[in-house]
Amino acid sequence: MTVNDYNRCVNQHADAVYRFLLKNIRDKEKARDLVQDSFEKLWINVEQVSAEKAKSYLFTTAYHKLIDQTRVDKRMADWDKVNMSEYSHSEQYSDVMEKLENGVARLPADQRSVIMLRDYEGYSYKEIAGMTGLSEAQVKVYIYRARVFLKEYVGSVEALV
Amino acid sequence: MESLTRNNYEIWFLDYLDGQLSNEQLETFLDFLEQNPDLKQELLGVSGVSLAAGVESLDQKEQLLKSPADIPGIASMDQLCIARMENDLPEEEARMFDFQLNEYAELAEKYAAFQLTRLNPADSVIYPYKKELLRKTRILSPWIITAISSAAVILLVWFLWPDPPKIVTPGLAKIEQTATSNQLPSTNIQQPITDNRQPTTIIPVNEKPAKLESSPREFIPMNSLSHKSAGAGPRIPDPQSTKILLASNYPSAIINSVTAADALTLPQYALQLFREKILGEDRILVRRTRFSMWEVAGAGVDKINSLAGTNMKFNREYDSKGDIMAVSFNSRLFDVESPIRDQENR
Repeated sequence: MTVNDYNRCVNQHADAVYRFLLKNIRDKEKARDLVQDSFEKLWINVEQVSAEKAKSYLFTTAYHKLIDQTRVDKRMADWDKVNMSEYSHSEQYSDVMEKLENGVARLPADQRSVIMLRDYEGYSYKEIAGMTGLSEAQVKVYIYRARVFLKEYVGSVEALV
Repeated sequence: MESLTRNNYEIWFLDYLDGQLSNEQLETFLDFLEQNPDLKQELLGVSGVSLAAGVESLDQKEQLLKSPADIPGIASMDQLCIARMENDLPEEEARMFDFQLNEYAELAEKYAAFQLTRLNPADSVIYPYKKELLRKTRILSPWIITAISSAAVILLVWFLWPDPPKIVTPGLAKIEQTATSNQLPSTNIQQPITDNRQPTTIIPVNEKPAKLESSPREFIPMNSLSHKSAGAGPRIPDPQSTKILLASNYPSAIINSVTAADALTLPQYALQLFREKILGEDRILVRRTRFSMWEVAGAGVDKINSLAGTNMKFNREYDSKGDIMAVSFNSRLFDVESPIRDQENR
């Protein structure tokens, strides 16, 4: 990977990595630091990482830094302790996306990360598994659970319309 | 297999009909049939038996079909909705699911609710500090490389020369003595030092090469020196006199706080800048490591190698005290090796 490839990578993926981190961590300064850390790591290994795999490398790095940061912040949630009924409701919201974002923020960190990689970046189960170190089955389960949770959180279609 | 007799011929019959007999067994079997025509007739009767597939069919099979909504438990239906959404369903099941969506309002409603959980990239989120992440490609033009190479060669020639010219400035020597004994009193520092200065003379120690003789170094009288012109490098004789020249522009408190160990001659200062700015060495490292022209020259050669792709070598030999004893320079064009005689150059 050349310097030009690296700089192209900055222009093409910095926003996406930042969005991924920001939506997860909900702290602009920390997200910015993690973006810088991720690109710094890419730069250090610029000769070992091919241009084709740079995006995947960036998201993998960002994910692991995010998990580290989340652990530091002691914000890891235990899915088993989450009572989904607490998040179910029948209120009417005019802004579905806003409600959805609130729901995403309440997801456990691992589910939040994988569903973002799935929806934002369109990665396959296999690719997400490679990035996160989870098995494909785990990734699938996390995504399914996240969708069920979000559906319950956002509410029924009638309540939204 | 047992030998074929009238007691066990049924087994042979079945194996014959299944095509399990070997050629040798088949010959035995056919011989046996020729010898037993009644059994041959029996075999023909058995081989004619076959079962035909029935033509009956079950009416109203569709009543047995199940829709996703029929799957017991909401979780299963949820799973089906998500699987369809994630394109995890096989093609046939997906087609069936889509068909059922039109048939069952409950399923359609649930599927619509799940579709709302799909996150859309927020393109409005922009990372505002991209410029900080970009890296610059350092491109050195050939003339810069040439200039650096030339400078390095000049430095090498200067220090490799057996007896470099020595410059003596009597006027500064006097000031040095005064300054050393009186710890640089502020009154002396504030005074212009041009009053007692005498013209500087260059005293060649040994015979110089013809080139240098033909173009003797320009003599710079001390009264024309200022702190700005002090960057003449090797022409400034020693650290203390340089210190005094520079000190004339600073308060006495600052001057007194500078110890002899901290003081740098202008050549040393220039070399420090060279290491920091040109060679890109770490500032702290530059100040903490041994300060020698030889190390700088070696680093310069290494830098030229990295920039120009050459393989020049500049080796140094040190004695047990760490003082340099000899240097050698090897390149494709020429090799030179020289002991270091002048302690001042170490």
